Amino acid sequence: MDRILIALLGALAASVLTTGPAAAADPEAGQEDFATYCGDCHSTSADMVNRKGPSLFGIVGRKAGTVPGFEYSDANRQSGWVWDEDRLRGYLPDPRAAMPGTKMKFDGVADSDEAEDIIAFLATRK
Amino acid sequence: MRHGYGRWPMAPAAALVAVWLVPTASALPSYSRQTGDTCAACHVSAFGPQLTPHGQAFKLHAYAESTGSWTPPVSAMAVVSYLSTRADNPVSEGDANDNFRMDEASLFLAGKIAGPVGSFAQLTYEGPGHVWGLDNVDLRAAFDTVLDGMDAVVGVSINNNPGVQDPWNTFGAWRYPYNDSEFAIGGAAAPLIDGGLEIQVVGATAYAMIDNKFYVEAGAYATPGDSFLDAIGVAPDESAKLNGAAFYGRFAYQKDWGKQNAHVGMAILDASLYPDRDSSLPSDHYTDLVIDAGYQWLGSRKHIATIQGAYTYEWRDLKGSYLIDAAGDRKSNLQSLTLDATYVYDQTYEGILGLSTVWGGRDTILYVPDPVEGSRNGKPNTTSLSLEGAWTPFGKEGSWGAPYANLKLGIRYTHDFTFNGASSDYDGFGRDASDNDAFLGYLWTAF
Repeated sequence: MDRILIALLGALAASVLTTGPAAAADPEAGQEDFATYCGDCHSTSADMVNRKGPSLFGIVGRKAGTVPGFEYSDANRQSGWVWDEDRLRGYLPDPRAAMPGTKMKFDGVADSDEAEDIIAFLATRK
Repeated sequence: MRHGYGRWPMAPAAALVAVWLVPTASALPSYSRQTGDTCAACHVSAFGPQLTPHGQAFKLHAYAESTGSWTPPVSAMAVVSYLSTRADNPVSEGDANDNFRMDEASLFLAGKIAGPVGSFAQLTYEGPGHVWGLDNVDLRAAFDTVLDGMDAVVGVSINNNPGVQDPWNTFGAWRYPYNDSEFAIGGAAAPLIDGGLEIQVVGATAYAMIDNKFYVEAGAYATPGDSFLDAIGVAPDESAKLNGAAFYGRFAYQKDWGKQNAHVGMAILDASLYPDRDSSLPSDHYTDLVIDAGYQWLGSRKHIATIQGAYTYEWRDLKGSYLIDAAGDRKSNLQSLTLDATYVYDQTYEGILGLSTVWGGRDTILYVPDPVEGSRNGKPNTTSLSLEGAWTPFGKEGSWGAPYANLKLGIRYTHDFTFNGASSDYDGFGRDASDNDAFLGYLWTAF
């Protein structure tokens, strides 16, 4: 009986592990990935520094094309987008395909785990 | 780094292009002010000159990318150094040893001029010679386009030093070592492409970076008139004089994975020079072929490691020099290999190991015995190993004084295994190669 119970619990645990939600995104890893892929052109410091790309401080929840002092592309300014996490999730893998006409010269973050970590990091910058 | 009157290699011995032709330019704060980028975004350390892919892209885009706001394209730079060699140098243009001097101070017109046009133009005051003169110049225009369905950057460069426009740091103007004392003892020979025509020519090249992978460039250089050379601070009678145009070509393939990148490439320089600038003589012909490669691990920029190098084969046909007995062999060759490996921690603490070796055929007329700078056995063979450490406190996100304060403090020890053909009594006057072993300390600042 004990063996059957252990087997059942084991099967249940395996089921949870294999079908449960994906591992939570890691903002600390995202900070490193941000430095790798985004940090040359973007700052997340609270003083809202624009570089070749606009400041990403407070990006999550912000309307696209609205950081003061940055010259956006028409595509960005007129997109009407709000940078929520789903929008970032669709944008980061291939920005130029997601927003044709963007000024951003970047091929994208191909690894979905890294993209999730970056989004988690950006969500902390507010 | 430019060299003033009395230090240019003479044309008959263009073979004797001195290896101390080391240009000096750091990350330029005017570029940082223009783009909002930190120095560390474009450079492997936060000071330069070794470029990251981000810095290479900025250069290929003609130094003209910006945040949109106009900033003055003006920077300044100064280098102070202390050089101590194992044995005194009795023919030094400075003190025999322990030279502590301001090597140079420079002003730059560096940044976006208008639209897709930008510049890197350096005016340098050479401390030891007390002379001002034009230094490296690279005026560019570039634009983005699509070629055969692939993104491309296409541009033109007008410059005065073959290779100064190159986006990598493996040969010519920007190879390691990135700076040196004006009083460093240089070997008897280096390939022409490693600074032999620096500032003495004017040329134009066209280039394209296709799909961020394939780089192609071609162009030509010519010698400007004597009055022009004189006006920019180059003594005409001490500079090289080309017979017709010199051809420059470059091809490279690169791959950028984000965390790491690599490239492999080749370059060619084909030039004819008049011995003694005497156009009544046949010219000496040089063809330099460079094979180069590099790898960078950038990661999150906490730990950066790079390794890069270049092999150069120079074919020489010294027809004119041979005719006037300035060379013992009409046809010969010179080869060189340079390798350097860099590790940078936290974009602040940098260690560099550099190897440089030059070798070629024996020529007892071209390379003659002479105290310190000569060769007893007529060979140019020189091999040295350098170990360098440097500290770059500024130029990063949140750095003090950004984007105006930039500083690099460094020390370097260089050991010469062989010098001008031998390890002992290389010059015929009892000097050993290791007598040239040098300790260099430097302070390099830009703002």
